Amino acid sequence: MSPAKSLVTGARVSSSRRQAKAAERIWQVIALLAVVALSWWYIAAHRQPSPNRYRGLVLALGWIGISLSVLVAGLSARKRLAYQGVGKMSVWLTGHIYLGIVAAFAILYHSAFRAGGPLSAWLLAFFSLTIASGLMGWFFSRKLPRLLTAMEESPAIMEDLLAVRAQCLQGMLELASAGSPEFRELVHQHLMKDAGSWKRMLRFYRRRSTLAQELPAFQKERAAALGRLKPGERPAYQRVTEYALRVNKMNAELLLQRAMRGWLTFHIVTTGTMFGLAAVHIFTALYY
Amino acid sequence: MTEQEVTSEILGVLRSMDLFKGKDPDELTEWLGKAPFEGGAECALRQFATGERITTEGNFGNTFFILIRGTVRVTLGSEAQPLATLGQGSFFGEMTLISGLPRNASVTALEPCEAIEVPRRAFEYLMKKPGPFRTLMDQTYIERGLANHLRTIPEFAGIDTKVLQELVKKVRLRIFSKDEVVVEEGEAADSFYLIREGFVRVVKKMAGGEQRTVAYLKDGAYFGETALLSDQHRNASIVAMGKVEVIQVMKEDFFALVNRDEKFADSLEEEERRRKVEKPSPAASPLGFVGEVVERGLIKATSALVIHLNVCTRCGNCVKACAELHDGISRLTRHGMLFEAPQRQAVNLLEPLLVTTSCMHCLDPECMIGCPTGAITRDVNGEVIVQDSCIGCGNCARRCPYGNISMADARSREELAKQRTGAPIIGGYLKLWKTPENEPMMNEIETNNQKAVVRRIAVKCDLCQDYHYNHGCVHNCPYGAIERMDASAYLYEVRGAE
Repeated sequence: MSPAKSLVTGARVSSSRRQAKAAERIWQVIALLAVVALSWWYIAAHRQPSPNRYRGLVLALGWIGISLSVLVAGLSARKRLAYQGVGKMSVWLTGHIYLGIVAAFAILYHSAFRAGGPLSAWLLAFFSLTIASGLMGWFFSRKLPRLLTAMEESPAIMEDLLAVRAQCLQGMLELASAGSPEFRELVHQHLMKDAGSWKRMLRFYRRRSTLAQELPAFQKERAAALGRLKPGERPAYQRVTEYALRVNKMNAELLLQRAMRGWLTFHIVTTGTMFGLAAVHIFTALYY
Repeated sequence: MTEQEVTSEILGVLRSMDLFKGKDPDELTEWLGKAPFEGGAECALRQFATGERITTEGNFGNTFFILIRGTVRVTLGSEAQPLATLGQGSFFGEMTLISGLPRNASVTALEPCEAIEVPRRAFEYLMKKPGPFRTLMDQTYIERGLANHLRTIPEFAGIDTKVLQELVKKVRLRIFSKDEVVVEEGEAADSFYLIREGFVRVVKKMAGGEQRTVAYLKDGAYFGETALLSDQHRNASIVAMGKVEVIQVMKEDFFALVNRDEKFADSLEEEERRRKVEKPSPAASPLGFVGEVVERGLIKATSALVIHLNVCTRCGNCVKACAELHDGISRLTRHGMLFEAPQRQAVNLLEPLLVTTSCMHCLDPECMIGCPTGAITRDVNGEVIVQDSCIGCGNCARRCPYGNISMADARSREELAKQRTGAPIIGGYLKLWKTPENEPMMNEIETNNQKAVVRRIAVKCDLCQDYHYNHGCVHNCPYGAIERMDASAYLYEVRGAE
């Protein structure tokens, strides 16, 4: 297929959004059909009166489940090793999600909703954790960017946020060290706590507000302390309150950015353990 | 061309041309052989068979041609409307070098031809010096350019060719730079203007003295006729938004044309009526997103890299992929211009878009002006690329108005191979808050930084020309949050013909 081109010059352009959405629709249909087929198969077997009714089904579903899981895990290799092609990453990711859902059904039907012995119980537990962490990642990737964008004044990468936060903290400490003992006490006892306050961070999330929107109210809250300071120190105090709130805001943004990456570690660890247990499970099932 | 290739026939043809008047054979031989930089394009003698296409209308070019033997036909449009037949000692293809726009006509060999293909660098070498070459090139550019340009404007399309040719001799081509005032509100009207290239802003004084932009005009549009026809002073100022070329038609020539051609006068009146009906009240017209796109220069982008922030999870895979595909140096950073833009599917809903710091492949790339080795060029699609002949002078990086070109150390193949280790497979996951900028691959670049001894080169997005798919950043985004878009096409989609 020839690439899309600029109408004006002919330079190549490409719309990833449209392709990702189209790919998602295809995967949704594939996953739905596969889940319906597996469910029909399982229910049909369940209705048979024979005591061996599950035998062939269990084995087949087990192999389908593990094969799909291996296929699903291929995303990791694509992501880390193959920047030069092997399909669009967005197509791989949607495939990973929807094939993962099909694999979940296959493995649940394979287990017949029973934990079994200790090994299979652990396997099922890690399998559930993998699915749960995957769903968490899916949820985060859909909701958190929107929340982060609403809060940001301008899009910043993590290094920017860390640098700004460090500068603000340094500014707070420098202003405090140059001030009177009362000023230092106010900074260390109150404003440093404000900077790390979870309550304030949650307020940013709840209101989806920017720093400019929150600052006047915060400075008003902290205005009572102004009376304890010398008139000459009051402008510096206002600056420190701004620094404190900015640090809090940076923390709120950093937490979101870390959440968007952090779930993956959990997902990888549970997946790795699940595959390890699955290998033992398959070996014991085949050997015995 | 080597000295042996420069035959007496070639020298004879060149010396008979007005372009090279006064040049002795040695000077011409030296000029034809000029290629002091390794990898830089040099003059070359080319042979063309009968019927062979030499230049194609709509393609971008980096060379012009001097016909040594044979004849060629110049044609316009898909129906190949013949414009002229050129013979020995003629030249063509210079327009694209001067304007930076695509070639505006096709040239086909009518018999076996021989022509010298002259690269931009050799062309600029002579254009820098005052003399017959520069004078004649400027004159030809105006005549050929204006005649072709006027034909593309509907109001002028019906005018008799002879009248148009007469007009071309009388008009002036004026070039304005950014923020220069073309016409001032309130001044007496003495001419009519056609925009040949670039964008201008129409500015009106409001009641409180505030200056407000009420419209933007681009190439193909015209202004100044209202004041002339109604015999009033200018009712708005026109300010250049970058490099702008306008054609100035003086008052008497304009009226001569209006009086001579009724259709032309009618079409101007019709346009005037349409503007009055459609023009929104200046006080209520902030021009919104379209205005912002024009004002901030995005309108020039033919392939801008845009991130949909509501979808982007800030994973950094785009930057990582770009670095991996380009010798460890990413051609994009996730900073840039922020826009609240209408969504394609629901234009009433806005979404935040980040136009990243990555080459936009502008319609009129300012970075290409004055490259000493001609290393920064456009390919036939208009994609702007840096060739290996870059000497790292930094001229393009300084000229780019968007900061999309950076200078980096050119590294040896061994060093590059060492950098291309890829991200750690398991360890990478455990470093939760590592981004590509911070990964070992990138650190190595910093620690090995030897600015004093390492050759520097200009680096910019090349749209992943060396790979079999489009754009590594777009290809490797897991969420489909990033895309390369043509600003004009996008605007057309979300705003229709506005």
